[in-house]
Amino acid sequence: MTVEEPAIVCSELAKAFNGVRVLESVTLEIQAGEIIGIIGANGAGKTVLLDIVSGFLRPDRGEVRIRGKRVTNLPPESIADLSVGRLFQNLRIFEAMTVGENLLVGTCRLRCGWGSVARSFLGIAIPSGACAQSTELARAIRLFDRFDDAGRHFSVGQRRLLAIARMLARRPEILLLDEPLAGLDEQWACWVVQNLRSVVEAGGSAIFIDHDIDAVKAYCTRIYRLDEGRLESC
Amino acid sequence: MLAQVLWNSIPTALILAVNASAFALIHRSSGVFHIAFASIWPATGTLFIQLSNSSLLWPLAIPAAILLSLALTVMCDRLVYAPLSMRSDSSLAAITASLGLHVVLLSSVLLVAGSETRMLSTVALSPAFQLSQVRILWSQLHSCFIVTAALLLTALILQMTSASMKLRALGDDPEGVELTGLNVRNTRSVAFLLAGFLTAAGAIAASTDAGMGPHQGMPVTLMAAVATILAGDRTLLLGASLAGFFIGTLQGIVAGYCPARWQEVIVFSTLTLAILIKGEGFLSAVKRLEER
Amino acid sequence: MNYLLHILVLLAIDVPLVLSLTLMAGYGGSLSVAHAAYFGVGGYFLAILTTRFGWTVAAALLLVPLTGAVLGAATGAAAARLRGDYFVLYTLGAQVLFVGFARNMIPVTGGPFGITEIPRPLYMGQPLYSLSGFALFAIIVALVCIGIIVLATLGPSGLAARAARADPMAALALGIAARKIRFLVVALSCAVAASSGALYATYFGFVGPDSFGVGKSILLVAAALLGGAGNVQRGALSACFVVVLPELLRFLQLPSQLAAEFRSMLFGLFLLLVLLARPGNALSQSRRRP
Repeated sequence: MTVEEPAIVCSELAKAFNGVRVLESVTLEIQAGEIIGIIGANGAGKTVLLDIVSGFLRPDRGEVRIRGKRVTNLPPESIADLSVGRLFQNLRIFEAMTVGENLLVGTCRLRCGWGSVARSFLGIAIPSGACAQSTELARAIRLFDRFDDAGRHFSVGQRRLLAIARMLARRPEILLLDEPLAGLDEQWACWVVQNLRSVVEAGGSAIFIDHDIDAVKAYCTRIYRLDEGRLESC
Repeated sequence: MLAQVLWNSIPTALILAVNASAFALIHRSSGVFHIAFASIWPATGTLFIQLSNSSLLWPLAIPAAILLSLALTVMCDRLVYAPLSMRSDSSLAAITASLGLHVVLLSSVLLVAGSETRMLSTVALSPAFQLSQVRILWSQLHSCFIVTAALLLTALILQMTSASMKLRALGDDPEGVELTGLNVRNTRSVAFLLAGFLTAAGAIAASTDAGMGPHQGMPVTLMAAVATILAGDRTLLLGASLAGFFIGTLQGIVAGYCPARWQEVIVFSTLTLAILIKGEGFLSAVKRLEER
Repeated sequence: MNYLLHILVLLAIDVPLVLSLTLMAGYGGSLSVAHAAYFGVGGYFLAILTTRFGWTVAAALLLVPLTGAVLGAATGAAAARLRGDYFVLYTLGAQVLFVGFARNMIPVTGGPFGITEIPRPLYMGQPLYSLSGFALFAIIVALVCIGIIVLATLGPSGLAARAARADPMAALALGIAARKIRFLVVALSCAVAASSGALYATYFGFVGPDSFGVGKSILLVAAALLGGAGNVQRGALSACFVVVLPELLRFLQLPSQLAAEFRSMLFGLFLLLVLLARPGNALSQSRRRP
């Protein structure tokens, strides 16, 4: 019988900036089908943890494995290719690009190897299903009427929905979510949670960072608190 | 030989220190890489030399040069950089606009004054004295005095007033500064005025030491820019002065030992490498990943 | 008629050159002030291969883009490390270095006097001295270069490049190999610039350091921005403007030195006007709202 590897394993992660210890011996194991909530004060290191898991930062010590594969030294685009989706706290939509183009970047599901990049330079057509999927997503987040408007013209809530839709367009199996519900009304918060649960029920998993303890308690399988660099189970 | 080479590099190093300070003042307070410096600097020097060589107008040489430098530097901000910063916070747009300003000003200098290098008529007669094995020219001493005095005066102004704090705040967050009730436009102008003053000092000192030509500005500007980058963003003046002094010393030593035609290549290879290795400055504050 | 053919050849040289910088700025997110240096590298490389090693122009033209691409790769690596305005400074330094090397490596580049007697391409075994024949050759080379640029901007690569330019972190998180794409775009841009340089060299029969200085780089930046970074159609139009304007200035019958300075001043003014007046400035990067 095959034992499935955990979705994410963080072992003894440590990170310091200018002598300030942000993470200290952080160990975490997330199985498929789990949503892990992480809470903590501002500046506790929650985003730093996500940055390390998604490859944007290297830990000073420790390692990260995704489905058994050691990813500690991989660049972020390679980790994204392992079906990892990341939602940033400050959203980071492509402000100069339209809603349609933002979504198309997700639905094209570009890969980061040299072969894929070279082929993308030689290819002309966007993959056939990508445009249709972008349109469908734009309708789902009620931005289809503004499909050709640039991202900079939208409110924070609309940007958040666009960023989430763009992330989901790649069909990730592991979600790293930094305050996904901030600024959203109840209806849209439900939409986000519904999509999150769909991913998890299909065998995916998620790390969910938020300041809203009620939301974290409501949606997460397990909750941790990050305090003075240490991760403690709640 | 080494002592003479080192002494000869000191005026160069001090001139570069003052140029780098001017460049850094503008960059730290407004985020602009002021490439137009490359034409303002020789324009100022050329005017200084022209007036100094005149039997009637020589008393006006220094004030006129300072006024020209101040006027051109502040004009760059009021007409180009400031309006641009209101439309876009792109530092790339600012440096590109500065390139355009440089081309316009340099062409104007070439049309008005021609392309030849000018010297002070008194430089050729500059007396020298011997200090142990080092031959020292009075023109070199004048040069050193001018830039040192200018740097000290500027540092004093920044220390004794609130200008230093305001300029650093402006560089970090112009919108935040505006919300505190400070006049951003006037605060910026202070930086550009001080920078214009330092530019004039550097140009006058360089003209006193070795003359001035319209095309001398770009290499000097690049070195000042690299000194600014190497200095990072923790200090307003000190870091750039030290970095400029270091680069100027390097240039002087290279000039002493290498064939003249390879000096620029050697110095610029080193500097381009420095930008590549430490693009954000050796003394920069560590930024959060999201701020980069 | 000959005059018009001459303008056509200049267009065949300058349009791909400006478009390559448009590509680098709009899709590579890197504005280079060293494009005249890549242009010059292509010219010098063809000159050296044909005059010193006896290569034909056609054979040299096949190798020149590779040279440009290798140089572009070095630039691309720098582009990946450096933020926009720092990259501009780096390329400014590289541009000054190029002219320094061109002036001083006398055995290789001929120093300040440059390299002369660069041959024309061969057609049926004979050098293509006829202007109409050379114009046709130049147009073919230009169309190939423009075709490569257009291909790079369409489809997934163009979308990925624009995303990587807009927000590299977000692009990386979406699996876009932002660094690789930027690297390839810059290498491609330099390859095209080098090809234009080679065409320049074989047309004029001469290359010298003064043809590829900072002034030329700034002129190219002005032309690229006039059209809007990344906009291929407008980039082509602004390149035409860059070629035509000096010809219009000839009618003022200014002395040549005066005309050169006047032309530079006009382009500097255009650059300023474009940056100050254009809404939706192509270089604008909107402040990221939290």
